[in-house]
This record gives sequence, C-alpha cells and structure tokens, in this order.
Amino acid sequence: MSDDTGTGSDGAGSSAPVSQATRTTGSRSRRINVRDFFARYGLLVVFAMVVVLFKALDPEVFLTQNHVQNVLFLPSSFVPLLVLATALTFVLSMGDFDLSFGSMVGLSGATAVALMVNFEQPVWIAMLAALGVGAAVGLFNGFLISYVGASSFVITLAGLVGLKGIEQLWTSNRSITIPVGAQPFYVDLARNVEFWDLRRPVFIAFGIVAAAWIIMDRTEVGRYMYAIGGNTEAARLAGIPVARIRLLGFVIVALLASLIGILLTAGISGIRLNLGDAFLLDAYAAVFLGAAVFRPGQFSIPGTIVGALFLRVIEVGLLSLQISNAWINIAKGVILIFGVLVSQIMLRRK
Amino acid sequence: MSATTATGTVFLEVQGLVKDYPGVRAADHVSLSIEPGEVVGLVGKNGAGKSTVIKILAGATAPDEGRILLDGEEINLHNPHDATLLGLSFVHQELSVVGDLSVAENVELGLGYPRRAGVLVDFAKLRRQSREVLARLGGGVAPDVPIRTLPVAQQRLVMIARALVTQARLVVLDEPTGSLTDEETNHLFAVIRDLSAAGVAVVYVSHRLEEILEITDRVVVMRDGAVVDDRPTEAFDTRTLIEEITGEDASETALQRRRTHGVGGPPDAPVVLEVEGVEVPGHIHHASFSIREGEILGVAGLVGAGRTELMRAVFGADHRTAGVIRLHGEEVTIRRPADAIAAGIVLLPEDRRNQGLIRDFNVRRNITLGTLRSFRMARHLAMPSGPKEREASMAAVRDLDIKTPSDLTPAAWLSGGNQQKLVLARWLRSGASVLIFDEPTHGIDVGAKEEVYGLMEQLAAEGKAVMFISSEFGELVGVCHRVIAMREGEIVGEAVGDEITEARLLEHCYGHSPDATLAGSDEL
Repeated sequence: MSDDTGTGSDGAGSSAPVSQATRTTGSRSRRINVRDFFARYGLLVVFAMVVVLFKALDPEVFLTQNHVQNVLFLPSSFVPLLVLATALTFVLSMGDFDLSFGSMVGLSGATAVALMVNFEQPVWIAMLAALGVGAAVGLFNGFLISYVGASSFVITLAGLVGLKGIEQLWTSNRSITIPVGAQPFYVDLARNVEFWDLRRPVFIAFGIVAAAWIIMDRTEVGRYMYAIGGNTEAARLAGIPVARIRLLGFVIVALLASLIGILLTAGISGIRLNLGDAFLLDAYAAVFLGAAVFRPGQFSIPGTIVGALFLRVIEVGLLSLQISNAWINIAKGVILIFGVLVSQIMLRRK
Repeated sequence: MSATTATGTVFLEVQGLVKDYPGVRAADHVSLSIEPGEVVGLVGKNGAGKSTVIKILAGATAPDEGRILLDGEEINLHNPHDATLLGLSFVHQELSVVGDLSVAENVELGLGYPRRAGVLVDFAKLRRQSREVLARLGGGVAPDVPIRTLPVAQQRLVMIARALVTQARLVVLDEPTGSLTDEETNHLFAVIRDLSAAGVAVVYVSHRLEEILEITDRVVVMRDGAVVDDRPTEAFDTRTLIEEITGEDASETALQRRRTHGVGGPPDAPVVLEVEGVEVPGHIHHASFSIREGEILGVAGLVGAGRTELMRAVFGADHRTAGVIRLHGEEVTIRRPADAIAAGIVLLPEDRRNQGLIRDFNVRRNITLGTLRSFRMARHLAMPSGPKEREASMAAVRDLDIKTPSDLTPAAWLSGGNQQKLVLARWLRSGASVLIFDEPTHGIDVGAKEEVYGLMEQLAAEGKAVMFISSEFGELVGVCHRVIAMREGEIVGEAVGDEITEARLLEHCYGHSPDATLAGSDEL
C-alpha cells in the first residue's frame, strides 16, 4: 500500500506525533475552565486585590476624584507610559523590538523647543519638525530592519544611543526653558481643559489608545500584524506585505514618541535632559504585563492598557503610603515577573 | 526473505524493530545484522523507513518493539550520545557543523576536548589529534580554518573524521554524495574502502543506485517500513534494485485507483500556466513546464531533487535569477507571493505547520487571511466584517468537511489533514486558477489522503490547473494526468496518461530512464 508510506519516516516522523500532542492538549484545556479563567483574568484579579488593599490602607486619598485627576493620570508620567506602551504593542506583536523610542521622545522635544527658543521659529514649524524627525527615524529604523534585514534589537539600540547624541548636539547638552508667556499655543497643549477637569494630554492619550485598539483588533493592518507575529513566513506566503507592515510599526512608534516629546516639553515649558529615558523600561513592563491578560501570550492593546494602569496604580499607591522609590521599583519588578509567570504556567498546563 | 551473509562474526544486530507513528508503521519488524568491515547499502523510496531505522540506531528515536544487540549484548540507546559512546557514528545528510568553529574544534565537538590543567582547552593537542585523523582521510583539510570556509565535500570528511576520533565501529553515511563532484565522490569511496579495511562497518544510504552497486558489499532494500530484500550486492543490477524498491503490490494498488477513477491523459484544454527557463542558483537549473486547464500535473522526484524549490520560485517565495512565467499566454511579473496570488497562482506549502498556518489564529482567521480585503465592511473601509468572515468560514468548513469543534477553534488544534484543508479553503476563496499542492498528504492518515485526492480531482473538474508534488509515487500514479520528474534541480522526464507507472517514475528519478532521450547526463 503506497498510500500508507510517507508518513512517519524520512523527515515526517517528527511532525506527526507533535500534531497529535497538540490535539490532545486542546481538548484537555476545554475541560479545565478554572485554569483557563486564571490564565486570562488572573492578573485582573490580582489588580483588583491590589486596588482594594491600597484603598483600605489609605481610604482618604486613594482613588478619590482628585487623586485620579491629579496623581494617577498625571500627564507627565501616565500619559507617556500609556501612549508609548501602546505604540510598543504594535512592534512587539510583530516580533520586533524598539529600544530607541525613549531617546526619540527627548530628540523630538529638543527639536521643537530649540527651534522655538533658539531659532525663533513659529510653533507650527517647530511641531512639524519634531514630528518630521520622528517619521524619519521610524522610516530609517523600519527600512534597515524590515527591508535590509538587520536585527531590530541592534538597530534600535543604535538609535537609543545615537538619537541621544543628536539631541545633545541640538541643545548643546543644556536644558532650555521656554520663557514665561512665550509660545502660549505650545504650552497650552498640556494645560487643563474644562471637561471633568482632566488635562488635555490625558484625552489625547485616550484617543490614541482607542484608535490603536481599533487598528489592532478591527482593521486589515492589525490582522496582518498579528499574523506576522504568529508566523512571519506563513504570513508572507499568504500574500501579506510583511516588510511594509513591519516598517509601519516602527514609524508608529517613532511618531507617537515624537508626540509625547512635544506634550512633555509643553508640560514643563522646556526641555530637560534624558526626558524620555524613564519610560523605556516601564513601557516594556506594561506591554509584557498586558500579554498576561485576556489573550495570554499575545500582546494586545486592552492588555497593554491594563498593564500600564496596573504599574501606575502600584506606583501611586506605594507613593501615597510614603514608600520609597527603591521599593516601588522592586515592586514593579516583582509584579512583572509574577504576572508573566502565572500566565505562562497556566498556559503550559493547558 | 532476509538473509545474512554467512561468513564472519556479526557485531551489530537489530531484531524485530517496530516503530509506529499515527496512521503509519514506519518500521515494521526490521531485522538487520552487520559484520565488521562490511559496507552495507540501505535503499528504499522516500518514506520506506530508512530514516526511521537510522534514527533508532542513532538513539534519536526509541523503537516501540525490538532490540539492538552489540557484540551479542542488548543495548539501550536513550540519546545520540549513548550511540556515540558505543562506537556508532552518523553522518547525516544535513551536516551538523558549527560554521564559525575551526575544523579541529568541529572534529572533537562534544567529544570532550583535550584539557590542560583541567579547565583550559589544550588547543595544540586538539590540533595534533585532528590533523592525524584528517591525514588518514586525505583530502588535505587544514585543522585551523573555520569549517564554513570549506566546500561541503570537505565538511563531510570532517564529520567522518569525528567518527574516527570516537573509534567508531560503525559509520552511517546518509546520502553522502548529495552535493559532491565525481572526483569528490571517488575520494569518499576511497575513504570508505580504507575504513572497511580497518574493520569499520559502513552503512551507506543513498538514492544513487550506481553508487550503491559500486561501493557496497551487501544491499538491504526497504519498502513500507519493512526489509524486503537483503542480499550480496552482486545479486543486483540497477533494474532489479528498482523493481525491489518499487514493489509490485504498491504499483498495483495505485494503478487500480487510476483505473477505477478513470484517470486519463491531460484534457484538451488551453494552457493556463507556462514556466520557462527558471534558474535558482544552487537549486534549479533551466526548468520549464506548462499546465492546462483541468489538468492534474504531478511533480515526481526524490528528496532534494528541487521540486519544492521550483514551486517556491514560481510562486515568488524564493528569488529566481531567470525564468519567464506566463499565465493564459501573458507574461506576469512575480517577485513575491503577493504577486503570484494576485495573478491567480497559489501554493499550499509542504510544511503547513510552519509555512501554511498561523497556528495561534483560529480556523476562521486562517481561512480569511489570504483574501481579507474581500471581507470589508464597506469598499473603502479597510476593516473586515465579522459576519462576512463568519459566513465564509462556516461555508468552507461545511464544503470541505473540515473537522473542527467550531470555526473559532485555534488552527493548532486541528489534525494534519484538516489543517491542510484550512490552507486550501483560504485559497479556494481567492479564485485562483493554478493551485500548487506541495506534499499535501504528508503526515496525514489514509482516509484524509483519499479526501485530498478527491479535492484535487474536483478542482481539476472545475477547470483549475492543479500541480501535485509528491514523494509517494504511487499517489501520483493514482491521481495525475501527467507527471514531470525532477532530479538534481532539473526536469528530467515526463510521463503522460497510461505511461505513468511507479517504475517509470522511479527510473526517471534515479536517472535510469529507458527512454534514451530523457536519460540526461548523470552527476553534474
């Protein structure tokens, strides 16, 4: 029977038993729903418990309206975290890395502020230039990585260092302050608006996150991104323009980093050195934490939102308890490991 | 049937090995014995069970039944390292060298480098040792150069040198001459004769029957997992070997299917796809073929003959340096898969798990992935509509009888045959006119295979051009209107209609065509 040959030997042997294993794995997971629930929502449960704990420890302040408006959603820390983590979700979901966006934040802010203050350019030129630099950096990264085939880790690591150097050239390595009363449009970007007393950048952040959510989960491009992340070669053979979409990911990250650079420098009326550095690792933490909820093992915008919120709640919760920064950092690290591990273990058991 | 050569003492004996994989018995009570210094040829079709036996001997796979005796004592091989320690050495078809390490470092890799002061590698001694073994093999390989700078022939010698270092008593060479020139092959043969004279037994696995007849003392023929012949080499010639490899029964079953399904020659219909002069350096040399509407065109060839490479080049998955592709008589530019798909050529890849499916995606998303633009909510809104996707995927699941709990089940959970249907469903929606099936029945059970044949026949009946790559020549006989045969990157023969028999295809693929015009020159 020639029909019976061909499987199991001469190379096929390894694939057949594995697919068998995958099948049994599948049916078992449907039986054990508790495990599945914890793999998906375990982190949310922990999150809720943490919130309750903080509220119990500090009922007067924690999560009051004032606290949410002025501390939790602080434009200078929550907005960059949320937006940068959202941007990062795009590249990570395709299996790429971007390490350069922290430096991109600083370079963009420096570009805008230096043009306005040192070169007395109008605000719209300054902002366009800042966004233009972002687009150029994104295209540069994306081209080298997805068309030339360089490693995203190495290229964006070079960006992390190199972009900072350009910023130092631009600013002669000094802080620049926008004089009081100058550039009202720019400074107002980060000011309060009247609705629910939240500052404008928070709304901008929410808008960006909502758009990102729609793009990732509802559009063709988003579907292609997940397909690339799932199996790049299969995606290419299915006719997806893999290189173009990977490039798009790097452009999105660099553009949003530029926007954050503008908002941050507007908020502090000037440029400070190393403005964006702090957000690099926190953004990664938020995205990875987010990959431990809803669709475990997969990066997603809703997951990233939860991750960013969780990190921020830990931070402000411990701050309001007067716990030092050292312990806050340690707590963030522990939560990250814990969140990812729990989800991984639940997935593996499945 | 198995008979052992009577003289000498057997040092390695394999008794009644059985290995089952889902849906197939890869090794069926295989018994073999090997004497010191003997050169044994192991031949059989793709999937005949040669690799399974070798994997068991190498300790890479455990047999379900049977035992292995070394010097009369039963041994248990738990991993490849055990086999090495017992003096069994393997040079696989795909060389496992570490490119950036030097020749000497590769020779003794994993065997425990000589040490100085217990921790430091004694490179001087390492070099000396490897120079000695390399000198025994000849070929002038220097121990210091990075191995990746050497031609494949010399890399293979380095792997054989490993066997000498371990004092191997048995060296298994799996398709060792795949990329060697005549001269290099002759040198390899000289090395094999030296090994043999020194009492080292050699198992020589090859599709090249002339080489088997030249170098071996005894030939073991496998078919469908079982040893079907085991005699001194003098008892064979090329023709009798091919007969043994093919087996009467298999051809009979295939021919029967062909008759009962009334498979004839190619239909008298317009040519859909015309491929001319495709070149892929190192893989494909000047390949040309064409296919008509409603035709099932088989592509036969042994592993490594370039069938997959040719199809990938046509599909735009791999770069080709030359070659014209015409569709319905008009030249089309295909640089990437998206171009081919747009033109109406689709490929169901050989490795569907890694190249066909997005395993994390559910059934629905896998089906709609190739034609996602056709599911838009509105024409200029690049957002797929859930209900439209659902409708299409439900229809595909129904039409192709895909066995899945729901169309939201992850693709990874489906069986091989159903995964194959998912990829097919993806392309059926695209309205393709040419469908290339690369080993579509690989690793799926018999019932699912028949379903795949049925689908191909149905597609052909609808006027699609179907290309069917297979290593199981029986299924080509049973299904195809016409078969082209490939060998070493070239299309070397063709069989049409009733000429398609397994023996004829094998003759083409082994390079012994009865038809002199097709018999082309042998090795490059």
